[in-house]
Amino acid sequence: MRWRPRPKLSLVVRPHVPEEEFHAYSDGEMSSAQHAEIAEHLLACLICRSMFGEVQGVRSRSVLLLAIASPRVIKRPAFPAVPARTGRVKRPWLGLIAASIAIVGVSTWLAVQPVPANQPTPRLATAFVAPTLFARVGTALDAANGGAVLTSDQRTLTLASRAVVHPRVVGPMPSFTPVRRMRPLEPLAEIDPSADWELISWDAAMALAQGSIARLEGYPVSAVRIQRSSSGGRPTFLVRHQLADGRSLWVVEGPVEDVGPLHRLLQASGLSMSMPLRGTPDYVGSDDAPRRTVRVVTIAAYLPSDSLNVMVGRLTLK
Amino acid sequence: MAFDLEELYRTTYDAVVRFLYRKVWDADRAEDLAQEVFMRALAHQPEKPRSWVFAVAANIARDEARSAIRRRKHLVLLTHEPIASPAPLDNVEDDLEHEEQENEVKRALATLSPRDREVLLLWDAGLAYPEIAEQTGLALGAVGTTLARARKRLIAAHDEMETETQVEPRRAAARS
Repeated sequence: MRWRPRPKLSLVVRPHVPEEEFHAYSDGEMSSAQHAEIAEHLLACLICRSMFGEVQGVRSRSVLLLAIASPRVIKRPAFPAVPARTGRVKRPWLGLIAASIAIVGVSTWLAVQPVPANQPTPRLATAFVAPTLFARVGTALDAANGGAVLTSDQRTLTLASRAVVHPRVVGPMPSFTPVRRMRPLEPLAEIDPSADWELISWDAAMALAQGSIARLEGYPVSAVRIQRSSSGGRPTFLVRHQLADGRSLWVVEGPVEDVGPLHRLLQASGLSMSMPLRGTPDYVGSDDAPRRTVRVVTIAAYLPSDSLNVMVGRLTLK
Repeated sequence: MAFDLEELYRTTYDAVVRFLYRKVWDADRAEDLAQEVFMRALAHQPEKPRSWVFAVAANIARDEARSAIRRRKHLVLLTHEPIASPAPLDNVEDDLEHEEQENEVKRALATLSPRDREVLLLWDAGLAYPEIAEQTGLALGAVGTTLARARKRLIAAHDEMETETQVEPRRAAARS
């Protein structure tokens, strides 16, 4: 290629930088020479500077949007410690020798056990695999003796059969948590007796809710309370259901702005709450200034929240 | 270079979870799959661990999507709406607001072509242009173009959804 003298800097006319190059420039994905070239061009070119500003805006906005679509909390489990290999030589035959010694030891011990005179000596293999059978044999022997009860020494056949005749009684597990007892009063009466909750009939509630109240299928409704909305929107409903064992369960339904504080109050009272289920948005208020509301349903009870989350699946919002 | 899984885990675990979350849209599942990815990395000890981890994550997410389609019918029978997060909710309003915003971004992402979306997610996960090119099969020079297009489309789709949300109350008022 023929060498041509390089023009003076003032005569170099660089075309405007393409948009995608600005993206690469912002991402730091250019070589240092390319980076310097664009930086120099940006100093001189007003159009490119404006374009670069736009690209930076697009880039930062996309980062923000993607940040919204991220899990709120990432639980990072501790890195599992991998034990360092110390050059230990594996000796599989050691295990075989240990197992053989154990078998011989147990066999010898069983062989020297005292055996009642009127009983055949059980074979070793049978003593291990059929303890129940020997327990029955012992009972049969009692009967054969004309009801005379054999002494414990006479009845002792093997270690395995002893375990069957005298089973170990297992007590309650130490980590067992007793079921929380139902409180005698309704939670709202305990937390905030002054709250304006009206007790109304099911029919009246249905009329207020325009024919649609969330409830759990299969459980009888024992009471319905409502709290009217000050803004004229849909009231908040508290529908009490009776479980088969006598405990109560409340389905809380209403606009999100009313259910939110109630949700916190009920949680503070010690009740478990399910995940809220959200309905389609609705618009209330005057035509000139409609207000967007979201209807929310949640379940409260003295039950584990996992159980309540399962029950939420049985609710319908229509 | 010696393979250091602990360092890889420390520096990329969160990015892998976020990458997987934007594919399966379930935080718990994303964490489970991320664990699976690192278990495989331990077994394979790849030469380029960072690229390898995201390539495996993408494959696992694809398999997960296929099995999710098979399971979908049963899931519909169990619940009416997916539970976004298993953590107890302290503030219902904030959570619902966040859920709405997330749904908008999710729908905006869904409008992108698979290649544009993949490039955008890989870039957001912290991969460099050459790594993205290697994983997606694009030419290195095409990564910047694809990324520029993906960013603009994501924002345009999101703006369109926001406009619809603002128009809807007026339409509802007009209907009533």
